[in-house]
Amino acid sequence: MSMTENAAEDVDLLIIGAGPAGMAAAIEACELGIDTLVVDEKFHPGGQIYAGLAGGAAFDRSVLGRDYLIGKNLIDRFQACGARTRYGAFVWDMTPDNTAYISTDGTSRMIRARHAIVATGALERPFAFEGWTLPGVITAGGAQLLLKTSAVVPQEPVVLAGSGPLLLLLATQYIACGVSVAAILDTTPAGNRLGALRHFARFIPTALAAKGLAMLWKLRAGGVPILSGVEDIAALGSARVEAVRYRRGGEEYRLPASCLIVHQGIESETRLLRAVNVEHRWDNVSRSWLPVCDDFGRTAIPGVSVAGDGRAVLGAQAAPLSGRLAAIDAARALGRIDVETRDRLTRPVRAQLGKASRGRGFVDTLFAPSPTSCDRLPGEALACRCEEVTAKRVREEATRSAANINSVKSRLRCGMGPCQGRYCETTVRELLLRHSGSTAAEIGLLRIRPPIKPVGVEEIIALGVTELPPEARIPGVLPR
Amino acid sequence: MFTSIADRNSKPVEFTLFGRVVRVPPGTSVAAAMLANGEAAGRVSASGSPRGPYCLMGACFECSVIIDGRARVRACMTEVRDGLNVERSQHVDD
Repeated sequence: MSMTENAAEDVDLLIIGAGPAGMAAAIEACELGIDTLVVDEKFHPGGQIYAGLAGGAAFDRSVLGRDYLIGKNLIDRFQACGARTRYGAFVWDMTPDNTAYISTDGTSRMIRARHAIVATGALERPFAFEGWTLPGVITAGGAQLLLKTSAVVPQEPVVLAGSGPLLLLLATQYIACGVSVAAILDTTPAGNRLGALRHFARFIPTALAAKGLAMLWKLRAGGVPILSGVEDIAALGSARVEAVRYRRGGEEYRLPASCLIVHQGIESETRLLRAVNVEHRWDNVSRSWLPVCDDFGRTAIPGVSVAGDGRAVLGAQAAPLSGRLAAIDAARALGRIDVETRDRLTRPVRAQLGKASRGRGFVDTLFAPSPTSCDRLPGEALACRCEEVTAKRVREEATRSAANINSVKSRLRCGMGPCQGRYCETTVRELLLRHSGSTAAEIGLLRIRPPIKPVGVEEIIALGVTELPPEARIPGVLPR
Repeated sequence: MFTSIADRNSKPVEFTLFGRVVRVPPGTSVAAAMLANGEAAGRVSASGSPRGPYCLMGACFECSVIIDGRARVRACMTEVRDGLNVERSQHVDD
């Protein structure tokens, strides 16, 4: 972008995201004497996992469990570490020279960083089904945020549908605060259990296993029916969800539901990294594209590192560790410490990270997304919420010669709406994979063009930007 | 559909939601206030179907509403304040 001398602010280290990875990175960086600025879209630190602990509606948060409450310790240390912070601020673009464009309350600013750590976490894996756009259908992560930040819970018996540990955790938290759970409709493919068995022996002695067993026990004690082998979820209603329909063992069932909470795992949010042309690799277990980086989280783009779930989904115990690794390595890149010091400081952290990742094999395989997940998606169901593109239209595109996700985007507009593909890319890719015969590498990943989240044109103009960025910033290295 | 389990001892925030005055505990997001007041939708899609809070983490833009005259504001990323005026949005591009 060409621009005037307008209001650019300089900082040594910019950390994007104040979740566990970003907070731990900031603490480490400040200890190493680095001038650090942390920006986050929310008004309080903590990310999604520790949302509400640093601000929100007052209520007895002990219902959320110990693993949540311990986040306060990290938040307190972060708030005392001396890093500058900017909340309610989202980064809508970053250029390979590490200039970040940040919008706060309708005004944008440029921040020039010598090094950036992208700690943008993860998002719900898109879960398309008939009626998923009906008001009252919300994601499990979203439902949990309603509770954590706003103390808002479903009033009537609630139906949870999908697959993944978060769904079970949310159900136990609901029970703890007196919310009635009508049923958990478990869509985990039966084959996953078999595949997960080979990771079982390593899973059993981990803290993760103990937590999982405790959750199942609580659900059992709470009398929550967990119905396995559920298929063909559909939300029914006109102005909002009124019932959920599903199929199990060849029979069709219906449950009344004033809200339906859905989940199908989470996946790394890497849009900002894609905007600066960080290379991504296809991961066949999570069926997602992950940023290519070294052990410290450093990407091949100078001065750009990644930490936390945005690097690979490893959860809240691992995120602060990868945040610290990225910060110590950034100190080396910024000339604060030498390579020997970096290696000495990071050695114990790397060992801890290895430990924190133990047991993931079982969980990741048990709840792994299936390549057939979109096979039974009805043709009239929406794959893309924003531009209202049906599964049928994507399937038709798949049979064309070039089943590249960016060509499909330009023809059907899926991925062009305000969510920028966050809630359709995975569905579109799975449909293309099943119907085109192309590989994930051939289909590729959505090219991310600024703004990665909508900002007003007037806001961009006020920055003094006189020229819209070209589609390809660095010719030849566009992710495919 | 949704209800608040927040402590009732703090002074509630009073604001206008789709033309009526509502009171919610401080610290609540506008999206949560919508749901707790029976408003599951705050906008319509391009084809006219109702849409409302979905991801609650600022990523889907389905909860976009007009707040104090400013369009395209995500209700889930806005905390309630006394006197806010929250209006329905016809389309996210409004």
